[in-house]
Amino acid sequence: MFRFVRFFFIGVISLQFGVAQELIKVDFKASLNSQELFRNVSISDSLPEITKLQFYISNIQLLNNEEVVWSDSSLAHLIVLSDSSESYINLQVDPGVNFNRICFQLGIDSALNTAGVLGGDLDPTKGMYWSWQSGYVNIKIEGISSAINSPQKEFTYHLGGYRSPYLAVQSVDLKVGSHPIVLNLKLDDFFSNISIQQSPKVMRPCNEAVELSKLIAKSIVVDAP
Amino acid sequence: MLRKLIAILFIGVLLIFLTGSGKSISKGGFVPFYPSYFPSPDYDFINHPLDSTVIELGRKLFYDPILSLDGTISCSSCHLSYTGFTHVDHALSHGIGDSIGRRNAPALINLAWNENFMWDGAVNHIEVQALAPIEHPSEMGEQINHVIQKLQQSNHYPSLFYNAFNDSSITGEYFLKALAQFQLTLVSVNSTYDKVKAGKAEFSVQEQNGYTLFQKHCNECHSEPLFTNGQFINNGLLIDSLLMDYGRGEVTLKKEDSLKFKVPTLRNIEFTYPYMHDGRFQELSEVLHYYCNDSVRNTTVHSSLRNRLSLSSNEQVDLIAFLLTLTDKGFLFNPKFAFPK
Repeated sequence: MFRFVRFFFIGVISLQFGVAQELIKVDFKASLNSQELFRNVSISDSLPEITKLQFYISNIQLLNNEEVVWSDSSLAHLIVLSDSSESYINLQVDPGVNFNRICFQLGIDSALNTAGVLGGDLDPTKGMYWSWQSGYVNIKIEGISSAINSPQKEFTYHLGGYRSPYLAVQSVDLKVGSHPIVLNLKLDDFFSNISIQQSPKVMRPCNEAVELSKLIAKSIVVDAP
Repeated sequence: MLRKLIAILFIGVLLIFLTGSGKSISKGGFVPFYPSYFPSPDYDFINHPLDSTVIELGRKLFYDPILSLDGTISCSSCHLSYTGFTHVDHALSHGIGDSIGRRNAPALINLAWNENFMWDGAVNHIEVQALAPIEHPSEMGEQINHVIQKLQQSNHYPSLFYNAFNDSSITGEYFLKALAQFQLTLVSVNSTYDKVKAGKAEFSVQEQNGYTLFQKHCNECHSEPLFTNGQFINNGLLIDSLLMDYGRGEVTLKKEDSLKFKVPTLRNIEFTYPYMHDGRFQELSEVLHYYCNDSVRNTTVHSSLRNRLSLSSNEQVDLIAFLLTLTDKGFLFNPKFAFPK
């Protein structure tokens, strides 16, 4: 009886602690003209100065070729590039899991947009939820450019939309080698494909929000760690 | 001695393992009563049951002007319980600093049966509706994260939130859920009409005449028993040239939605004046006069209103007599909905 109790006790304790998992870091950064943003490096005046860049990622999966080997149990993560403590996430993965692809959605899908109020990174106090019309802001990009005619020279892109025909959420699918995974938003193409002078503000679900979201999704590349 | 110690430890670990890690235990879900002739609510009471402690917290928040930037406007400022949770003093609600809004405050009645919220359906779930008036510059003028900070810094809210959610944090999620749960309890199903439906009362001759007229002329949009079909309809109102409010069209950006507004419930209509999305009519007689004489046939107007209503004066009086049977005094004066003592 005593021996049974002892082994049961040890068994229960080890079940509580579980097998140690590995942390796979996914680190986000952004760059313009090969210079990394939010690193206190002075950017040339001819380029836009980005003061805010934050976005949601959701439905993260790791794949080995076609097979999904890991799925995120969290609903979504808010990445805030200006804050070094909020510009990365750690994926808890069992050791020995091999993967060569990472897939995720840039933004929040329709199901979560209609699920009522949510918490954690999806809490409306995070400043990524429209109050006047239901829906998450998938991506916020704000900044200043000398090209803009207004006195403050500000551009403001709050990109979202979960209802047809303005579905702004984008899928991202990238080949990855080793980890930590470093994902870089190379914004050169984004800024060369939009006219911040003509449309310095996009702040509601519309065609432009969808097009701009597509450009941001395409800008994400895998950097060497 | 060692054996006893291990036995105690074993039982202790077993208890921890079996009872989980301190999640709040369900206190018994509350589902409001509704009669059998009502459709099922849109809100999922079964999987998202209400809780009496959360409801009471929501009620306290509903009546607290701390939600507004300058501490002067609460939800009840525009949604008064005795008048069907709407505002009778003004056609257009006003907010902080005497700013005037664009629309009449809707009555908060039977919201559990709504698929969407606001005159233009801009809000898709009751839990996120409160964000709209809280952050509107002409209503409460606040920001949700600042409201949460104020609640965290108050003397009494931290313990009220702890009792409701078993968590030492106050979050936007908890705050909005509490407000939503209180509003979901605002169910009006006991008017004279309902008593007649249940066989417990009878209409007068005049009210019965009015009911027959109602079913002929009004029921398509103000469908029984909710007295709204929840659709966006253009009822032929000429656009107000100052407000320039295109209603649903401003949300969907579709031409066919231009000038359409959500059909409001007629329950407690006796007390929820003034009428229409901009409160342009003070009395029910004005509303009927409008439908009979003044409605405009612009492109998106509802098919049933392409021709003006044809009602004699007597018929209009009878119809109003029927509409008065939709008053539910038990709802309007329910102490559980009024200012918490």
